[in-house]
Amino acid sequence: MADAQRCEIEELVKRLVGAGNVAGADMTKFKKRMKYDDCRYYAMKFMLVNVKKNWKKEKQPIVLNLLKNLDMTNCKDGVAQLTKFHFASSSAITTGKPAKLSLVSEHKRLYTFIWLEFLKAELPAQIHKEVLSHLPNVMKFFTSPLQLSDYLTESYNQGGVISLLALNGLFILVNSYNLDYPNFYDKVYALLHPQIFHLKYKARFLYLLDLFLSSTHLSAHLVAAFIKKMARLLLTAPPESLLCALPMIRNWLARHPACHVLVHRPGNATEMASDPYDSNEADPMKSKAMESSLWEIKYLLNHHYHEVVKEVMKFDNLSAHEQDLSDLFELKIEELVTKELTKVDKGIAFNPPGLPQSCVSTELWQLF
Amino acid sequence: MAKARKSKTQKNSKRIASDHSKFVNPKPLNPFELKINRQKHDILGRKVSKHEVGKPLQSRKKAIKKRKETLLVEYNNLGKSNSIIDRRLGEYDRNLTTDQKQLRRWAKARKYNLADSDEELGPGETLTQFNQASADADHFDGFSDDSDDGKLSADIVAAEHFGSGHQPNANKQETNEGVTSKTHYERMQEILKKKNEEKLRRDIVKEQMQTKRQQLDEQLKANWNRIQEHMKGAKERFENEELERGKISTLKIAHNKLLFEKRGTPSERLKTREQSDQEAKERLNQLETERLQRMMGEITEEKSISADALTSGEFLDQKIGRRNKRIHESGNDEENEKDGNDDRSEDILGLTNDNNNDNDSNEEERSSKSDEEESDDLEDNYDNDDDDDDDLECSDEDGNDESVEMKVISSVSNTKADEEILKTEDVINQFEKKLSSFCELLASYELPSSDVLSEMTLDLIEMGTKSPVAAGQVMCQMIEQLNSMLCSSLPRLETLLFLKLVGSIFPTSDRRHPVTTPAMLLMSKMLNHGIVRNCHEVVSGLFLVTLLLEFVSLSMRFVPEAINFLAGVLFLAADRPSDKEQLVMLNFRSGAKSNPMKLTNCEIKEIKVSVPLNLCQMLSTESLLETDELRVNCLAMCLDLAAKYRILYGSLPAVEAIFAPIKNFVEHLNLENYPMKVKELSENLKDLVSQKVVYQYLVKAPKKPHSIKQLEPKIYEKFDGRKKLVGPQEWRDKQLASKKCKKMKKDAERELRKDQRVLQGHIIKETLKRKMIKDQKVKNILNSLASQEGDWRSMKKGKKTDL
Repeated sequence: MADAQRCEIEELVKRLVGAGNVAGADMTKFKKRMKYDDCRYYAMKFMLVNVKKNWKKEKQPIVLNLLKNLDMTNCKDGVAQLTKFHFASSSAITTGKPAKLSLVSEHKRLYTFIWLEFLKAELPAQIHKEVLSHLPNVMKFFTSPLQLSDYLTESYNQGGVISLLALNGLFILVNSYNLDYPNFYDKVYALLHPQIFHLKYKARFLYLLDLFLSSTHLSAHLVAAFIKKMARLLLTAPPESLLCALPMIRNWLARHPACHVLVHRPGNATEMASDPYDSNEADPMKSKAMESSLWEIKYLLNHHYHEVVKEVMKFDNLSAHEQDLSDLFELKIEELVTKELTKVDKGIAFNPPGLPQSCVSTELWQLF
Repeated sequence: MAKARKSKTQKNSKRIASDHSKFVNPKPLNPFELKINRQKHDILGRKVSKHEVGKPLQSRKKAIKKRKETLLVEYNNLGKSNSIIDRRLGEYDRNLTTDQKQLRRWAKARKYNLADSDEELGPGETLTQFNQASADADHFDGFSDDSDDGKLSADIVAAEHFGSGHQPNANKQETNEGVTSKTHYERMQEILKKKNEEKLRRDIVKEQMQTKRQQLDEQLKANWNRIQEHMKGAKERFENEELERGKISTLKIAHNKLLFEKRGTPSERLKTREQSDQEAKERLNQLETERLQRMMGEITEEKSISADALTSGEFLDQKIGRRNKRIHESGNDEENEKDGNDDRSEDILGLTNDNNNDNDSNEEERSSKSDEEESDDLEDNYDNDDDDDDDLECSDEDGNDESVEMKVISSVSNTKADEEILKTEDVINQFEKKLSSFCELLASYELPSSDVLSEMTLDLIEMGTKSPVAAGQVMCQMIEQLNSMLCSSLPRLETLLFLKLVGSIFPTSDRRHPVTTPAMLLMSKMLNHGIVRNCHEVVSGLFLVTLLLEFVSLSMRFVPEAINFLAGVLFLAADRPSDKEQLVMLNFRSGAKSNPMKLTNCEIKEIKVSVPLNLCQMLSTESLLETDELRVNCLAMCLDLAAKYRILYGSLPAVEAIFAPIKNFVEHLNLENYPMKVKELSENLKDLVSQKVVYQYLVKAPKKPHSIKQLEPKIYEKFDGRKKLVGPQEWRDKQLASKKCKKMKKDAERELRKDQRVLQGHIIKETLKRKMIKDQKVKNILNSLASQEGDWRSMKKGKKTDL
């Protein structure tokens, strides 16, 4: 009886992998079945056997998709035994001695093994990114998430977007599973590069950055270095990023009152010959950020977009309350343009003839 | 003394009571029930309070009564979902005895039963009407009338009704029943006949009327067409005449318009040249200050500029430019002659002067620019020489430029009335049509000649400045459209020129403007997201950067995208892929395989760097050839622009950090093969970029210290014994509101307390009553028990005694 059911699930998985189709009737069936513990168990067993040997590189996208669809929500920490079965006979088995199929620990073990086997193979960049952005959601279903630390560390060392995504997983490991990861903040600091505002994963990165720096127990020197670096990056950032990053810096300042010297340094010395802050220094603690001042902000007062100027103005009286940023991470410039397209009414200003106008474009270009 | 006072109060109270009783209560009030707030002293000017006299007992009684009617009812109904209401007949009528009630009910029931079964009458039951059996009504003849309105004509009524006609019949009825019935029948027949005849007659008349009306209608219809045709022809003829007249002398009309324009009374002194100069200068200064205010973002609502200021646009009419040049050459400075007394004409000529500066050949530009530098920007456009008449003569001389002249004159005569004629809806449509045709032309495969294009641009700008609202709306739509498009490559020619148009119609220095702000955001988006794949995209990007420079040149606003783009172009020119890390934007990466700025030929020293570059030629779809010449020109332009930006931002701090990537790329630029001009430009840029800046620590503005509150005498301007709130209106309103709220809360609490008291009183009364009844019952039982006991004892005793 049980064999027939197992065969059914195995056939389904085989078909899916064979077709390599991410969407379709089979996939929806698979998704539905994976909510049941027994089906999932059979599927995982089958996948564990095959992922190592039979499935080749070109099958990786579909395998990853299957992995993503393994619904482990039933396997919570407090629960020892599973009860949600699709086939009646499975529950009949469980009436006696608890079978493997109904044990949470067994499920977790299988799940972990499949993932680890999958990650052992060499992954192309696109799949690598997908895996890294999905892992933080499923880490808790591993028997020990620390098993991922090697993989994540390696990913971090690759640099670029991948290291950025790896940081999310690493942070969870450090935060919840006591991973001893030295110089975590140095590594985050190293990721701050002018190009981050032009990346596809900009919103995610900003969100993570805010998350990493949400602790109030960080050293003020470290936070000051982050603030300084961020401000430096903002000099070249597009307006939509500015609207998100400026409140973020304000939040950091609100969290760390010791950093207020950056925006207000009373005393005799009003000028510095060169900025004491060294933006090329890899170690944030040695960047001398605390000795500097946040003159970049003053510069942004001249930004062409008036909302940015408004944000900068708020630095004059910093409040102790933090601002909610959740809406700002995903801000798009298209939204800004639509927001600006207000109603044109009678009082619209226009160029009155006779006033001197700049004519750079006609000096440099002959239009027709 | 005390007695006297008492008697006085009593009198007073009596008076008040009697006054009151007149209106409200006929029953005289007990003077002891009144509470009088007597004033000890009469103070002049003080308002007498409203509540001099109170009737505490009465009001309390009233309040309790009200509570009993509402609160207690509610209390009694508490927990009851329904109750029985006795709706039997006469149940609540106190005047009826039980028997009477019973009788009524029985009668009603009987009636009801009868109505239910009116066909089957019981034995001995007959239906009656006014005490006569309704069965007898069969003899009733009914009304013979069947006219439309259901009424009998007056004479029939007079003759037959109310006994007059019936009288003889009635008499006959007594003598011979058979005959009377027959005669009656005949009479009725007659009446009917008459009636029908009359009806027929009426119908015939009606029909006749109908046919007549129809005939008339048809006649009118036939004539109507003819009438209409006639009127149409007349109108056309009239219009044709008008047109002919217009053709003959549009110039004359314009001239007449100018002549008949309202200018003030002849008795007034003519304005001297200095005066009109002064006025023009003041007006321009005013406009400039308004612009500055908008730039600083100080005023929130923008003032509209009067229609007087509405004249033609400001950039490039080649024809006007050429014409002015010609006049220039004739040495008379005739270009300014038109100014005369009219401010508006001054504007235009000032403008054309500007155009001249902008658009003519290089040398001309330089010279006029130097002129500008010499004299004040505002003033130099306003030296006047001659009168209107001379100007007109001059225009006549320039025969082939008459159309331009017409335009100028028509724009001069642009008054508010003209503005009103151009209704917004129409203008919007017109502008939209023109703009779209302009863009279509630019996007088409074969570009039209530059004359046509410049004519169109001038037209658009003129229209835009005349009706900025319409232009703004159309442009906003366009921007929205562009915004919704995916922006994976840099914009094409039509978009670039559209953005240029935006800049020349609307002020770009404003902090916030409904058209230019989104346009600038759009440009920033284009530079940020557009991917640079070939040389044309570099050109397009460079033009955008130039436009941005033009937009911010007055306000000195910071546009990081422009700098990033320039850095990107320099990166491509330097051709060192290892420096990619220093690049801010990623859109230069994907094209790195085939670098658009990489030179194909080494022999490029002879290439002449030409300024200005011709945008249309370079971007038109015809010439997709990527030549080294174009590349060199692009590099030169890029270097030039970077230097201009550096000069613009020179006064800002942080310029060093922003130009760091540019500095790096310029230093790595390999210019060995490039022409001298490029080398010069790069040297210039290097010098500029290596300038040092001083950084300043951020220090917040010192806060104003709060003054310590001191004990000072409070001085009222006008003392009336009452406290007055002093402060801003908003604060006062808030105070008053909170006071009112407090008072209302207090009142409500008091009411609640009173409610509670009434309720508790009722409850305790009920409980006591119940307790009393219970006690009574217990007492009775005990009594009866005691008597029983007594009986039993006595019985026992008796028995004992018996025994």
